[in-house]
Amino acid sequence: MIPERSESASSLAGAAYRDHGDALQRFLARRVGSAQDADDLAQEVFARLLRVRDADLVRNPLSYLLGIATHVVREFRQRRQHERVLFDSDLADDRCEQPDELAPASMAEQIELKQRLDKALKKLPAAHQLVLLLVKRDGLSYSEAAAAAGLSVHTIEKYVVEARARLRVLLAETR
Amino acid sequence: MDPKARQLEALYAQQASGWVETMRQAGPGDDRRFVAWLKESPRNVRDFLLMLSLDRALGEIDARRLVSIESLIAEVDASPFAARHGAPARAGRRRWRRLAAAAAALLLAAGGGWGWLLHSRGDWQEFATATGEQRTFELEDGSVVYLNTHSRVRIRLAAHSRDVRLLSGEALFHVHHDAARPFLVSTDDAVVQAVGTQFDVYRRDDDTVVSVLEGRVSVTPATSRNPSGGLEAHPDRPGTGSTAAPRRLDASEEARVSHAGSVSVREVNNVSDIVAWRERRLIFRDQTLEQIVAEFNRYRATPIRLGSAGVGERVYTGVFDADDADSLLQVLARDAALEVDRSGESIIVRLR
Repeated sequence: MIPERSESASSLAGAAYRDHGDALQRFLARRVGSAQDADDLAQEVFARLLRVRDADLVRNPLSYLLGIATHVVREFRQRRQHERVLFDSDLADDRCEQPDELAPASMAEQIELKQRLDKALKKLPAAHQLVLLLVKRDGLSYSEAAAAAGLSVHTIEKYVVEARARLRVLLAETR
Repeated sequence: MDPKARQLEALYAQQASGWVETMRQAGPGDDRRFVAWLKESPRNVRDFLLMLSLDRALGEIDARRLVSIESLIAEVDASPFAARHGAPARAGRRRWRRLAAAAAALLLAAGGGWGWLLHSRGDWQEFATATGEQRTFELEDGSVVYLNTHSRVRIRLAAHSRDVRLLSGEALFHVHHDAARPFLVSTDDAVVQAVGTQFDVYRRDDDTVVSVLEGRVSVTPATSRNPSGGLEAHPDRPGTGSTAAPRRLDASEEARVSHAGSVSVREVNNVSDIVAWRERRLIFRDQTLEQIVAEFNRYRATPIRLGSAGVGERVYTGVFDADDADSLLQVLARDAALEVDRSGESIIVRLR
């Protein structure tokens, strides 16, 4: 069964994503291409996941995963700021007052990611571009997108999955 | 990136992207499979997190609306390859499974990646797991290798032999029957030869333990192995010395082979104990705390330490979860003679 957009937003997974996704997204978005920090983070999240009882984990896997990842991201940033204190106290003070994600450097990185994404989008086959734009940019549900594109709902789902995977690979290569 | 590594990247990206979709509409069965997939490898955790992040960034794709939907639709309509009204979701699911199988098979062929296949040197391929990680590999001959935490093997499949060198840790081998190509597993201590069977080899600091689940193997201490017996094929160990008769090992028997070449065989009462590690269960029957802690620490990034003399000689029995030190510490807490100190980075157990 394919969910409508409104359904997916109200689902358990959607809630977990909303609660934890922001901090994580800002951290990871800049690292979609360069994997070293993401690798370290994943290694740490993995180690902690293994310690969670399976029964608990299966009850709500996505929110557990995102919860752990959010903690790890926070610790990672604190460590980073600590390193900066040792290095340059003035800069460190600025950083502490200004949340990391508002710092000019990361704004630039965010914009850079968007530009890279738009560039990568153009390299996808037309059908993949079409489906991504309908669903992600224009916010259509899968069945609305299916009607608009003259494709089946299953094909829409399939193309979303494929397009996202291709973008991931393209971003990693253009870094 | 070389083409094979890129192909592998694409397969993993596709898998992670598929999970993002599945978890949007997940039922209880999906949750279980998702958790199992995550727990396979830190790489899956990374790929999933990155994919979620990418998915979110896609909300702002083409924010200036420069790309026209109409022209894309026209382009898709004009293309003879555009799949209209595609395959049903069932086929989609099956496709995932095939993709996953293809990814597993590719692991054997591709370089790079997270590190299961570290590199190929000549005909030898090397596989490894990180602390806490467990991995399964199917070899080209149909044999399956289950690699436990923090382990490393080097494998070569040749025309007349199948050679495996267990460099560290533990592996369970499910050997596909091939009488023409004996399956040889060697450590510094022992060489195990099988034709078609199931057995576990655990390379420890002081000895190598070989346990047979099914069929029969022969075990020869490495110190007495004749160089013509195939061992010279291993890159980092020349064969030495005179020959000793191979020791035959039947199902539910276990041999310990020491560095010095002594072999002791015992009956295993519970064969399932041998493979309990695949469910991340640790089973101890009247074993010393030193042995128990050593087993736990194979799975832990920060080891449990024994803080005073004599504490390691105490004997316990129990079944534990390899990822849950609390399951052990609860048992130890009941022992009035012991004190568990969790104040520091690592857990320390000492006598009161």
